Amino acid sequence: MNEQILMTNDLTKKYMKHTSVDGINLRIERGQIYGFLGPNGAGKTTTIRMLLGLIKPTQGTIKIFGQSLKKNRLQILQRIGSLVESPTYYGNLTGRENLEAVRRLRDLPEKRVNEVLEIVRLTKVANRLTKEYSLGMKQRLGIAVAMLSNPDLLILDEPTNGLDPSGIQEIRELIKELPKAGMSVLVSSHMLSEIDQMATQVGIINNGKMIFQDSIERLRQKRKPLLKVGVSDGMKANEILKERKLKANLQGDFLWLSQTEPAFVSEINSILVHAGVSVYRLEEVTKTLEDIFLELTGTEGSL
Amino acid sequence: MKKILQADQLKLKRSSLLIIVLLVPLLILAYELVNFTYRAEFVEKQAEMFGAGSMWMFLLYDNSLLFGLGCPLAVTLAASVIANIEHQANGWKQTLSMPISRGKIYLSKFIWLTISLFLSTTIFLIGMVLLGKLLGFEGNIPLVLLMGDCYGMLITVLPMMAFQFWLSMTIKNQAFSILIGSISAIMGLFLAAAQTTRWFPLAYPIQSSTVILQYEGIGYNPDFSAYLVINLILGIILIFIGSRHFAKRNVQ
Ligand SMILES: Nc1ncnc2c1ncn2[C@@H]1O[C@H](COP(=O)(O)OP(=O)(O)O)[C@@H](O)[C@H]1O
Ligand SMILES: [Mg+2]
Repeated sequence: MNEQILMTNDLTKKYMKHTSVDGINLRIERGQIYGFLGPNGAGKTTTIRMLLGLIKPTQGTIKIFGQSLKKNRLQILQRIGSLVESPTYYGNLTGRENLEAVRRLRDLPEKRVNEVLEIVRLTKVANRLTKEYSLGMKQRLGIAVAMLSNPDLLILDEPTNGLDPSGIQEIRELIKELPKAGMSVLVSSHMLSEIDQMATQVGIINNGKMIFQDSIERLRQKRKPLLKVGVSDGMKANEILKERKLKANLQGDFLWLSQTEPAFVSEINSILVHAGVSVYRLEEVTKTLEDIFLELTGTEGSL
Repeated sequence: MKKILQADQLKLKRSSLLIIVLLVPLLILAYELVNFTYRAEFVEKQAEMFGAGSMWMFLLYDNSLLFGLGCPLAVTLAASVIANIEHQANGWKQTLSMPISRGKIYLSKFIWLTISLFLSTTIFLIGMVLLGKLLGFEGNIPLVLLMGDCYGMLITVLPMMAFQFWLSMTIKNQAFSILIGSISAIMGLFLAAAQTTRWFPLAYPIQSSTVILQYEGIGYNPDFSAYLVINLILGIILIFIGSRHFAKRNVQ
């Protein structure tokens, strides 16, 4: 199961002096849904373009299916389906014709066109010109194109962009099913909640740098609840707790502790009150993934 | 390669390529029709003065300037339409992440450009024959000369095809390549007018006719074969350079 299917080493892309992607080491194993998360402009699309051989890295290497992308680009692309950024659509063609054009290029069986139309629920509008499609329909067409060849690795760059909530839900359910057929997925997004709901593995990129890469569980562990204590004299309370070897973190008027069991909470309360510090608030606070994300990126509010 | 050509054929569906293919030959034919009917007397006098062996010869001579100007324009527009299909669809990132060599993708579209111009010149050829028959030109149809004019043009315009195609494929804004193409067509006209500059390959389409006006009158063009050889070789070189550059580009 632990077969590495995608691996980059020190992957870097510079535009003039600006470094868009900075020494990234991506690791994706077979059957994983890898959520590639980062705010707009973080370098997700640039990374994905390099993975597809559309642009050349300034530095670093890419290995996919154990082969070097530089040397075996076409063999590797044979097993990849992709959707990059805003969807491609030939407006003068119908949805079906759009897929047919790709089918001919890749020399795939004819029945696949109807199959993928069904999967992304475009069968009803398949014979309409795509210039009349809504953004969501174009996006679904792009996903259909990516899936047409039944790829071993599916690369989707912000696939839910422009979709309504039910469309997002549909795509999410669809993506979650893919590993059962042995597919691996790299899906990028700037929305943590989305990645949280489908990914098994997460890589967080910010300003071109990878700041976190691990399983989604490890990311969620960072979400352990904390105890927030409001006291009259924060400095004094902190001293008292320190004497008793209790680690607290003073932030403004509040002390933060890492345990929240009822017995622990009442003990803290009693210690402080007996030492003459008045406690006006004891609160269990759960960090949202957004908080964690902001903590990691240090870019509050940029999402 | 056949599959790629078929895919590109589908992408051209409902595009304006057909209009461009028809436009240039039909406009020139329409002009000649008017010329040979409403100005019949003047045309006959001129034909006699230039020593044209037959009205066929005069027709060949008369349209070579228009065709030499019109064909490069048709090339410019057709190359732009073919390339713009991918630009407009945001299609490069999709097409070029398929497991197909970039050289083949470039070549397939170039073949469609060639097919379009082949159709265009063939329509022109058929049109000229019909025009002559309609107007009751005397003598045998000089089919070899007519074909030489039409398909010879296809070869003399090849470097221009290669260059315009490369421009349109690599620069998204088609106004740019159309401007360059139009200027080139007119430049060709001026270059052809002077004895020394008429040997610039850009001037060949204008002079690409089996018959020309000489001191003795309208006769065979002695330089025609040189034009064909030079521009065939130049064209192939330019196609090669263009596709190599295209294959190495970064795709946005
Ligand atoms: N062709 C380019 N030329 C110059 N800068 C670019 C180019 N493409 C992307 N960038 C820059 O690289 C950074 C990362 O962009 P991108 O990969 O599109 O981010 P994301 O997909 O994560 O939103 C941005 O700052 C963007 O302006
Ligand atoms: Mg992006």
